[in-house]
Amino acid sequence: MSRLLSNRFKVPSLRKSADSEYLATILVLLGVWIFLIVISVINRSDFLSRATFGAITFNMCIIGVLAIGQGFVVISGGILDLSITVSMLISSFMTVVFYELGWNTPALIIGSILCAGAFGLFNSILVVWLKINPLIVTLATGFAGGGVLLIVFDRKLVDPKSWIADFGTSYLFRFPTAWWPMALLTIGAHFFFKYSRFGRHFLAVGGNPLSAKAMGISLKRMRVSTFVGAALIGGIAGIIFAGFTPEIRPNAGTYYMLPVIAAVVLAGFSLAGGRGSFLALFVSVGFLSTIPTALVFFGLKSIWETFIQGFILIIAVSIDAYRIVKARGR
Amino acid sequence: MSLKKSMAIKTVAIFSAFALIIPTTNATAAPKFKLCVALGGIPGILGALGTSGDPIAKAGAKARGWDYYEVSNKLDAPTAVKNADLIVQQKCSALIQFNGRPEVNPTIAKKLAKAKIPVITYDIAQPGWYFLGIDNLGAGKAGGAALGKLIKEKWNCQPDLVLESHGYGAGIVDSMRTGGMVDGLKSVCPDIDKSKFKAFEGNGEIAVSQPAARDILAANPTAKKIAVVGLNDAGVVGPLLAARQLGSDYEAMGWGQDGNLIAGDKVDPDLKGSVLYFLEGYSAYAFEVLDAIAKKQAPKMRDGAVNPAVLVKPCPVSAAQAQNIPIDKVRIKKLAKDPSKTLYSIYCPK
Amino acid sequence: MGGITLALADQSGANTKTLSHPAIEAKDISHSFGAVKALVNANISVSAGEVKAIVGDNGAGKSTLLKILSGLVIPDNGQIFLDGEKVSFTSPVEALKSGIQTVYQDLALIDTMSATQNVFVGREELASNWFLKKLGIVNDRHMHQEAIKALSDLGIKIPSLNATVRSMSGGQRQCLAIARAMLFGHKVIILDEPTAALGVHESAQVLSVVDQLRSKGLAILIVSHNMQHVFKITDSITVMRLGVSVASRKTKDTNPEEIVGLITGAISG
Repeated sequence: MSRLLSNRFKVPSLRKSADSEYLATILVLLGVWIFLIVISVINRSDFLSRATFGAITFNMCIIGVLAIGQGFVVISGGILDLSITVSMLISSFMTVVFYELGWNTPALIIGSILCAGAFGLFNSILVVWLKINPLIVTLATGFAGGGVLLIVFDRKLVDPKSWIADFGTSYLFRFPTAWWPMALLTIGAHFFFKYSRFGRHFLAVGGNPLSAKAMGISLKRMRVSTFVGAALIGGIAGIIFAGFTPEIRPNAGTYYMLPVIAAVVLAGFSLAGGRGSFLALFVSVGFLSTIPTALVFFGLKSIWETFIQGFILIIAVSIDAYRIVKARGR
Repeated sequence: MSLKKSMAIKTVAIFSAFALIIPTTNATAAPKFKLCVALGGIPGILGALGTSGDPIAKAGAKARGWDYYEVSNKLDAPTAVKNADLIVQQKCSALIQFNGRPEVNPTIAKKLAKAKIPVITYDIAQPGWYFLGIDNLGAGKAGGAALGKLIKEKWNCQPDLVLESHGYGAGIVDSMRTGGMVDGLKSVCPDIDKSKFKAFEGNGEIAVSQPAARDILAANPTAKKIAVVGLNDAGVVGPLLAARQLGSDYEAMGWGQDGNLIAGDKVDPDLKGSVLYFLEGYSAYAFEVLDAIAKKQAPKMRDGAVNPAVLVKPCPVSAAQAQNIPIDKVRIKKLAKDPSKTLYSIYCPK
Repeated sequence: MGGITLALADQSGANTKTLSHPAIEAKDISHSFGAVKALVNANISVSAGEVKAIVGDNGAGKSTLLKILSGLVIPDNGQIFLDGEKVSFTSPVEALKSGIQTVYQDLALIDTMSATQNVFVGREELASNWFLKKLGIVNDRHMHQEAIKALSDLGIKIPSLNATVRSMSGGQRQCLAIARAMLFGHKVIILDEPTAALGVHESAQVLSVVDQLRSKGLAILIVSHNMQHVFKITDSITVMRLGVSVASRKTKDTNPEEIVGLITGAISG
C-alpha cells in the first residue's frame, strides 16, 4: 500500500536512492497512522488519553521486537523465520528457569537469549548444510520446537513478586519499560544495516546472493548469522513475554505470527530480500498496534483485528509480488 | 520372520492354557467384570484426562474385584481409533474414556456400540455415551457469586466495569461458565448497569485476553474499579495484568475458573479466587454408573453436556483457601486410598 | 590439437611485468559434471596488457573454464599459474585475493544497492576513527569519492551514484561492474559476455572501458559471442570446441571466417 501510494505521489525523479524510497514509505505509513488517529479522535474525543497511549505502546512491545527479528531475516534473503515465536518461548521458559535458579539479572538475560540463539543455530544448520528451504525448515522446527517445549516444560509460572513481572507492568521515561527494547533495537538495526560493513553484507546477500558470493561474501556465514540473529532477537522478545505472561505455555506464540509478518511486509520489506527500512518497520508496528485499540473505540469487537491484519497482509504481499514481477520483467 | 511366527504360536499356546484354567476355576461365577480406561494423554494433568494412568479407576476396580485395563489416547486421533479396537479385543465390560480429538468419536462409538461396550466419557459429549463432567453452570454461578460478595464488600456493588473474558471457541462450556459467572455476580449485586458489562474474546489465554482487555480499558478511560470474570484462570489473569499495566490508579479484582493459577505461591495478587473442578478425581464419580452397569441395571442414557449422567460438583475457593489445598499429586494419592469418597468431599472448604 | 601457449612478450608496450610468464595461465584443465565432460585438457593464458577472447559454441566449455579461473568451480585436473606461480583456488574469495576479478553476465550487480555500494560490496572501507572501525562502521564518503574517481578515470558517466542500480541502463551497469573489477582486480579481469544485450552505443562505451583497462596493464579475458566486438578489441583469440581449446590466434593474424570455421569445426586447429 505504502509503496504504491508513494509511487503515485512521487517527486519527479528518475533515479531513486533506496533511502528516498524508504523515506516515502515512512511518510506514507505515518500519514495512514495519523489518519487513523485523527478519525478515531473525531469519532470519540477521549481517544487521546493516557490509557490509549498505554494500550498502544504495550501492544507494540512484543510484536515490535519480533518484527525486527523477522525483518532481519527478510532483508537478508532468508524469506521468513516461521519459528521465531519458538525462539521467544525458549527464552521465556529459560528466563523463569534461571530466575528460579537464582541467577542475577544480567546473567539471566544473556543466558535466556543465548538459549534462543542455540535454537537459531539449529535452524541455520538445516538451512545451510542440508540446503532445505528456510520456510520449510522453520515451519517444521516451529512445530517440533513447540512439541519439545511442551514435553520439557509443560508450563512455567512467573512469580508475580519477581522483577520479571515488575518489568511487564512498569514504566520508564513515560513509556512502558518493555517498550524500550523495541525502540533501541529499531535504532540499532537502522544503523547496523545503514552504516556497518556486516549489515551491508546482509543487504548484499539478500539483494542478490550469487552476486554477493562472487564478490567474496560467504553465503554460509551470512545465512547462519541471519537465523541465529533472528533467534537472538526472538530471545529478547521472550524476556518481555515472560514479563507480560505469568503462565507461559508452549502454544502461546501463535498469536504473534500474523501481526509480525503483516508489520514487516507493510513496512516495505521485500520478501525477495535486500530492501527494507527498520524506521518504516517501527511506524508500521505502531500503526498496526493502534488498529485493535481504535476498533474498540469504534465499537467493533477486537476479533476484527485478526481479519484486518490478514487483509493488510494480503494487500501488502500483493504489492510486493507485483514489484518483484515488475523488477524481473525489466 | 519364522522367529516371530514361532513366538506368536507360543503366545497363543500360553493364552489358551490360561483360557483353559480360568473357566475351570471360575466356572460357577458370571464372567468377571472388566473396567477399561482410555486415558486422554493431556500433559500436566493427572487422572483419566492425563498421561500417567488413572489410580482412582484402578483402585475402585480393585475394591470391587474387577479386572482393569488401561490404554492412552495420547491426544492423538489415530491412536484413539486404534485403542477402540484394542478395547473390543479385550472384551471390556465398560469403558471410561477421554478423547481430546473428538472428531473421531463417532468412529469409535460405532466400533464400541457394535461390541456392546458401554462408555462413560469425560467432559466431551458423544451421543450414546454417558456424559460425566463438571457442572459448568454451577461452577460459573458459584465463582460469580463469590466475586459478587467481594464487590459488594469493597465497592458497594458499584464496579466501573465488569470484563467478561470469553473463550467463544469453547461454545456451550463458555456460555455456561462465563455466562454463569455473570449470573452469579448479578445474584449478589443485581443493580449493576448492563452497560458496565463488556464481553470480549480472551480465548482462555493471557496472551489474548491481556491486549484485548487493555484496549477495552482504554476505550473506557474513566473506569477504574474493574471486576473480571472469564472462562478460566488464564482468561481472567490477562485482564487483571492489563489493568496494572495501564496504571496504579486502577483497582481490579477477578475470580477465575479451573483453578489453574490459584494454587501455589505464584498467584496473581488481584486474582481473588477460582473454582476448582478436581478433574483428576473424576473417576470417583464414574462408579455410580459403573456399579449399575455391573448389576445389569444400566441407567437411562444421558449423554449431553446439558443432560449429563453425572455432574461433578465444582468447588469455589478464595486465594487464601487455595493455599491450604494440596497439589493434585497429593490429592489423587489420598483419593486412591479411599475411592468411595470424592475430592470435593475431602478437600472443598465448607 | 590446441594448447599453444602464446609468448606475448612483444605484444604490448604496456607489458612491463615479467616477460617470461603470462599473468594467468591454465594448463591441461579437465572437468566433468557427472558423465558430461565439460573440459578436456583445456589450455589458456593471458599476459598483462593483453585482451584475449575465448570464443566457442554453446557448451564448448567456455563458462566452465571461466568459473574455474574465478574459483567458483574446482577442476578435476589441471594447473593454474599466476605470474608463473602455481595456485589452486577453493573459493571465489581466494581468486579475488589473488587479483582475479570476474564480471558475470547476469549476476554482476545487486539491484537493491546503490552504485557505490555495489562497487565496494564485500570490500567496504571502514571508518578511520578507531572506535567506529571497531564497530565495523563503513566510510561511505570516502568510498563515494573513490567510486567517482574510478568511474571518471574510465570515462564512465553515471548520474547518481546513490541511486539503486536497478534504475540504471544495461551499459551503465556493465561499465560499473567493470570499473569495480578494475578497482580491485590488480592482475586479471575476466568479462563474461560484456556486450550481450547492449545497444550499439552502450557496447562502444563498454569496449572503450576495456581498452582503458588494457592500457593500465591488466590481463583481460573476454568470453563473447559477438565476433565484431572480439575483433575490435582483442589482441588474441582462443577457440574452444567440445571442451577442448582447439586453437589460439593473434587477432591481427586471423579473420572472422577462420575463427567461425574453427568454432564450427569446419577448420581444424
